[in-house]
Amino acid sequence: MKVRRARSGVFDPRIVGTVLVVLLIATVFVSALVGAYNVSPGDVLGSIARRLGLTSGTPSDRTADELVWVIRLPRIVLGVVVGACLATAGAVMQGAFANPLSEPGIIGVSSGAMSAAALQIVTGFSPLGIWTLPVAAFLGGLAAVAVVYTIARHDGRTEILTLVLMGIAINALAGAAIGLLAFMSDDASLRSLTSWTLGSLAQSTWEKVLIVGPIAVVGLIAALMMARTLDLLSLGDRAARHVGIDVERSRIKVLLVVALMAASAVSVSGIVLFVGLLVPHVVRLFVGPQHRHVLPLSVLFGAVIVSLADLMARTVLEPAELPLGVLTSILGAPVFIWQLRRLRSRHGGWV
Amino acid sequence: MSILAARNAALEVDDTFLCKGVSASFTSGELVAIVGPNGAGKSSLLALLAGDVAPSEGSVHLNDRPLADFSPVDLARSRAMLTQTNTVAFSFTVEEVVAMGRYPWQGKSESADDEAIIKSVMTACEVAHLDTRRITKLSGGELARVALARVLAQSTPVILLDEPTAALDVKHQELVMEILRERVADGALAIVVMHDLEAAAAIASRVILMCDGEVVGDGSPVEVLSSEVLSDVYDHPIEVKIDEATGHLDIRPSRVPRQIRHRSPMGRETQV
Repeated sequence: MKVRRARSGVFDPRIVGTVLVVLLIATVFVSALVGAYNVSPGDVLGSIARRLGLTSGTPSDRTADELVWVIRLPRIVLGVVVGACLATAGAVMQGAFANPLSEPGIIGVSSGAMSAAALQIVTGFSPLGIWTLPVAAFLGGLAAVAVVYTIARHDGRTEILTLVLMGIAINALAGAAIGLLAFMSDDASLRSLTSWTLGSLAQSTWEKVLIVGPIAVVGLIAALMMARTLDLLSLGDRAARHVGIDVERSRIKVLLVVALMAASAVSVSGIVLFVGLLVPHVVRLFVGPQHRHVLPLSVLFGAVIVSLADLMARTVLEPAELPLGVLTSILGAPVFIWQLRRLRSRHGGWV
Repeated sequence: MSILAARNAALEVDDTFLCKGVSASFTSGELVAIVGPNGAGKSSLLALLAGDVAPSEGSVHLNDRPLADFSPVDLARSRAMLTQTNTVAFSFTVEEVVAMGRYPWQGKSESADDEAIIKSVMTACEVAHLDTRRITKLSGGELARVALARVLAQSTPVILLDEPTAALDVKHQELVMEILRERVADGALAIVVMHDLEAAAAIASRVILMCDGEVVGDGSPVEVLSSEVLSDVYDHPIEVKIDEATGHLDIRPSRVPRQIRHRSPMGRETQV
């Protein structure tokens, strides 16, 4: 048997991190330049500098300036936020469930958040103003994740079969609820509901960034602080308790954090599948299972993947736009199946 | 003074008593074996002593404080526990898993010794050569020794072990026994659930015999492990002889086939 060096990973986490940061910056920059209307790097920098008050004067290309600031940049920022949230939520769930198949989309957390948000859209009931949608999504996601967690756990372990079946049940239920809401809704809300169900970043605004950004940041920071606990939870609940983890309290924290991040992602882009599943998997293959590496690198890798996918979604069939969620599923599902085979033989079966 | 004590503790699950009326106090430097047939409540008693479950009656005290008063971290600094199954969900390396045993000391002055302790327990459990191997690739015996190393790394005055030798070959069974003897000589309390009566008699300073959730014998191996009591408790003829020269107990279950013996009712599990 091959003996590895002292770390459990194959690559140095710092190198992987640096590569991902470079990739992210490159993707973001290309995303700002490319589209139905190509702009020059100068236009992008100028547009940003002007809004930050670094330069004054009128832009050379007014259309490019507006396009970059009003349409492309908020979309890019939200893509980064959605990717970071989905991937990190996946990593936290997989760690907390001690189960590598957990993901907000598959488990039904996203669709729980989604149906609550859809209810809000269709009824138009908004006691909290612009905050109503993300709050509704949070509560829906929390309810879903709590139900799944309670039912799928047995003897401090999560049974994969129960987990996946619970996901099917909750997704079906949420799908039915959304279908019912679509049936009852008028044309305008139906349209926004449909584009949203498929997962899209098309309706990105700075207002959304301001609403969802802070929620996402809180969720991400809370997630990063759970690294050690998640490591120990992979021993199973009982052994984790023996080494001093307050399992019940950590569990509640996990539920809140996952719901927070899933809600942030869903209230921006609807359901985007597979990011939460694949990103932590790939990161673990690169740097090993320690969560102090897996979590921050998932944040970065998730941001890269969704930014890249969104860039493709809006440029591949130009000027038409592919729904982001459709794209990630087309790309993600085969990779997932391949990974399943590979990981199963590597690890000698699942938990 | 007792470091750990069960006071009339009972554990009732779904109207069945897994343990009832257990009173026993343990002091530092004791090596206690809990023995008894399957379903006698050995693991339940250990779970009660570890604080995994709250007693439905009575109480369990650690240093004269009820277990319920301890926070999980405080408890983890006082007692470590080795469970029967020890799977790890992700492919951590052996060294990373052993290092998890140091978690309760995080931020304490004791954590300065982390590296030395991890190294020494890995050497003691003969897993030092596996340090960079992934936990998911180990054999059952290797996995059991890594789990033991993790438990020992916790450096607690109380160590509870549920069948620590079940997955091990003879050499490593003896290794585990030797490690426990050393820990006890250093002043630790070790309580071990065991199936091998002879090994229990050889290693333990005190044996607790359980049957149907109750303690039916508590004392030195010679006092507790008599032919008569064992045959009755295990529902199978068991012969016990004392080796006059060494004082060791020679415990031998009858190996006469059932059809000839016509003694134990069919369908009852007989077990050594």
